[in-house]
Amino acid sequence: MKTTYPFEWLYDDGLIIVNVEINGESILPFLLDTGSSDTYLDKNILYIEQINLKDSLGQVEVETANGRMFADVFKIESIDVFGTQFKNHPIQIIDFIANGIISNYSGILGMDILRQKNLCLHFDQKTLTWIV
Amino acid sequence: MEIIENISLSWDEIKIQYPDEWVVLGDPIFDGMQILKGTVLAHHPDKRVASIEGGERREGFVKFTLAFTGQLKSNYHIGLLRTVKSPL
Repeated sequence: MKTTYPFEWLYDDGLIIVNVEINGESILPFLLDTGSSDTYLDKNILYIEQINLKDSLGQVEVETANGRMFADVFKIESIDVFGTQFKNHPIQIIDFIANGIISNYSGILGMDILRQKNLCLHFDQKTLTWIV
Repeated sequence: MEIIENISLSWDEIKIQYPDEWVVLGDPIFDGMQILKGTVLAHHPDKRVASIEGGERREGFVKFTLAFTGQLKSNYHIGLLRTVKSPL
């Protein structure tokens, strides 16, 4: 099954922003990043979702273009990506602002999720096709 | 805590009432990626404060979103994230 969704460019940076739904409640802009091994969520969303910070499964070390940082891992009840629901998927939590990520997006959609289906980007139409 | 009226506002109205602030919206309506309207549950220049207050005012709402009403110029590219060591 193929489904088409809109995306937005982040300013003029050429970065692709898509909507992702967390726990069937929070609809948030995520950066679609095929250069990211995993999916990341801004720590502030845990406050909105009332997820206890003590429920972290542990920390992982993350390498970025700007150096290394630590992320907490949480199992999120559900993450809905282009109509596909991933249940109890581990997501890495970073305090975006504390780590210098000053941006409107609240998460980074990485290859741990993207590689599970097929994705086709149509840059001229600002749409993507999600193939399940 | 500030009392905010539970009225759904258009995104343009929200931007005028709460300029350059983070807002947590209850039951937002989208047109594709664009926020059309929503009820402001919390607003603050500090993203963390807005998020905490928004979480405390969730009752009665089903969906939520977090957005900034101004223009944030991205100054950091986080691409090429790679987990290098996991204890899990």
